[in-house]
Amino acid sequence: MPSRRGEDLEYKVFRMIKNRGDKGILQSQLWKRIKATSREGSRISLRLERAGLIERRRELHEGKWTYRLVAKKRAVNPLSILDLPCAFCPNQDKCGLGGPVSPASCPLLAQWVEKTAYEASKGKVKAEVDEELEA
Amino acid sequence: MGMGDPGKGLLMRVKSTDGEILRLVASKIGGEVAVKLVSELKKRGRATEDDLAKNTNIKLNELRKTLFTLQKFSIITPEIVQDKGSGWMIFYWRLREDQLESIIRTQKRRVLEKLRERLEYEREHDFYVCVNPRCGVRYTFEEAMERMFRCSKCGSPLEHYDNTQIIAVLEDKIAKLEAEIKRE
Repeated sequence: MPSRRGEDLEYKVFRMIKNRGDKGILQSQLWKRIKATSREGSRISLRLERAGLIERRRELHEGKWTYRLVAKKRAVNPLSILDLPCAFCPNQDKCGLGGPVSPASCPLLAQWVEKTAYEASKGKVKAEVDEELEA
Repeated sequence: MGMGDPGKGLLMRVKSTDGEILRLVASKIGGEVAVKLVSELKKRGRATEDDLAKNTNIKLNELRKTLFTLQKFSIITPEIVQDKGSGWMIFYWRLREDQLESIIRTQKRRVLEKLRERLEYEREHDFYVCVNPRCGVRYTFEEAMERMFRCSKCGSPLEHYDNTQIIAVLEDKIAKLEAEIKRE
């Protein structure tokens, strides 16, 4: 069973891999960063793989076979919701269909939906014009 | 369909470090005041309201309002400690940075729920819109009937409104969020 320190290191390694997103990180580079031996490192990566947290992809790097470690789960990113009025809305608990505040009647959500629909249709028209010009 | 994703541009501008994410979330919750408070708490670990007011120059009533909003979303938590010397209880605020990921995950699920409800509403109703471009109020078929197809705001006639694009935008955003939640 890994020690508490070992668990912390595993968590740290997992966070590092996760923060690299789709690119992942080469096993050999990662061990240099955390100053671990390749033996220690391999053990950690195997444990993470067995726990279903990462994927190890075999890769040839500078003439040597190594593994690229890629997290199965991505780092949580709030950017996709921050432009939406519902994210962190003070009325969130009261909001629901038929309630005093509702996603159906919310003026802020209506504004967002209409603006996004308008921008999308503008983008679509532009793409069509570009296609026609190219043709 | 290539819907524009406003978050994408932002993603390219900011580095997705934890500090940046915390700043973005704080700014969304309480604007510049919340950003100042969160940065101060990040620096100090925990702080009393007086310390925060002194170091950020934010008015006490505005500071309290923002602190309670930040607490509502679990970004900060109160901590009551007894002073060893005087025996007085001291009320601190502490940043819950370790909870940030789960807070964002919860918000994503809630936003998704609201978008699904809006989509359901858009799909189930037929809409009419005021022809006056300066007014543009939208009514459901039932509301338009009650008003004899005249806008109750400006008196202009109402015409049928095609909400296909709105449905497409909602479906697109819902699909993206669902995929993101699954990945994270």
